[in-house]
Amino acid sequence: MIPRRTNWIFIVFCLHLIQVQSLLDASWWSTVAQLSTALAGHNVKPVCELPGLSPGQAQVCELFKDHMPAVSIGAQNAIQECQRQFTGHRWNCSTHYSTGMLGPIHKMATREAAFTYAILSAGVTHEIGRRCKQGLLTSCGCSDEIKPKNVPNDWSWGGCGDNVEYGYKFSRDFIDIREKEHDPKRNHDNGRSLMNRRNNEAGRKILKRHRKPKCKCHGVSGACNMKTCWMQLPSMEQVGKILRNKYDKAIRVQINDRGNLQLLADETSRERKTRALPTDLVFMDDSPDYCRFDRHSGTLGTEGRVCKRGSTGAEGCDSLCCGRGYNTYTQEIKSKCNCKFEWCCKVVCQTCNNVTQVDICK
Amino acid sequence: MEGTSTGQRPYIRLTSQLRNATKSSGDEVRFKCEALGTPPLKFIWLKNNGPVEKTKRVKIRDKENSSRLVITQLDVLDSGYYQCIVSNPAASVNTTSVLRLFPLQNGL
Repeated sequence: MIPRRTNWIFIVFCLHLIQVQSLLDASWWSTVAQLSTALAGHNVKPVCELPGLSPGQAQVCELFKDHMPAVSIGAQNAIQECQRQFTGHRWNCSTHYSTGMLGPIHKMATREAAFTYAILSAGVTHEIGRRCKQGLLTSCGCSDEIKPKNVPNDWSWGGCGDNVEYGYKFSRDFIDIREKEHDPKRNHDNGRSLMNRRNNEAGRKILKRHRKPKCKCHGVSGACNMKTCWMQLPSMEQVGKILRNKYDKAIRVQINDRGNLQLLADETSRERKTRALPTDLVFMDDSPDYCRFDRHSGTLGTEGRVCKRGSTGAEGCDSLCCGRGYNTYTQEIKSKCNCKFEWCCKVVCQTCNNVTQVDICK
Repeated sequence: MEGTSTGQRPYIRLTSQLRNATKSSGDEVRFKCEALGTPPLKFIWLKNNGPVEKTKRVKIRDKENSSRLVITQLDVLDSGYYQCIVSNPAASVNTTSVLRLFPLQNGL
């Protein structure tokens, strides 16, 4: 279950986007999440001129306008999944209530940044691939993948599958272009661009590798005489879980003299990794503790967050409030209860008061 | 000195502009970028503001005063803004064209 707060946060997120555009490096993602509203026609500005898109992205947008709602929805799905994966953690992929600063946006090249880039890129690939299959985009259709070996011979192949190939290529063109652009005005951090591209690619690769054949039975009254199969993408929930695991094992890199990413030996782990897999997440900077609001590093802090008293996990007040303590509030929730049906025809309920205590970080 | 230095002020100009193109999937497109100027001329091709990556299907051939970009077996995702930038020590000039692909036929 996605906490209800998520929706609310997202609205705040949208409202504050424009003001914070200039604040943080990757704020262009917030633009992307806005694209669908802009396309609904309530925006005076042409959609591809939204601030935050790079010149190259604006050009892709011009030529593939019908893809933009998919990009936007894909980004929103990714953000929701990110918030789900990090519920109760100090960094929880969300926005601050009053400042309007964006959560999933990172100035520092941390493992949280790595996770965010990967899941956003996977989310866009997912939504594009799905819409191709549904015939919603003019330039792509069902996937034309050949039958994989693990599908038995007597099952027919050729149901309409998610077009991961197309989603993959489009996402690479649209999302990664900003990391490669020729722009003397942009202060180009080459190491960071390489890291972003690498993590974008990891997200897409994971999505692609976890697709599976899905089959449907045909036959008289439910008999499975015939099966038709096609390729289906993993759910974003599955992708979120895999990426969460990759986040825990993210690999530290640095940029070498030749301008390539190079693995750094991890002092804490015994086994020395010599190679990163294409699906591994990579990062360069240590994560801040995410305890306090800090504009410089782009962190929101945990003040005002709901914590769990007595829990020793990340969501426990000791950890989440970073030792600052918490305030306990009594919350009264009125709800309908003991409802009875009376002849005829009404439902009569009583009002019940539920009193609960909520702990909030100082 | 031979006294020719006044006639040798570095300069650069394009001698043609790239033309927009609309193609079908599987077709081939050729863009030619030509310039005159004090050598050496350096040609750079961009697609949507990022460098064009050479592949089996995407070839770039540079000559002294021109450069040619050829893309074979066009795919819908080759659609884009293609720009040629020519530079020498004097300056840098550029020309852009849009490549569009016809949408897929229904049912394909």
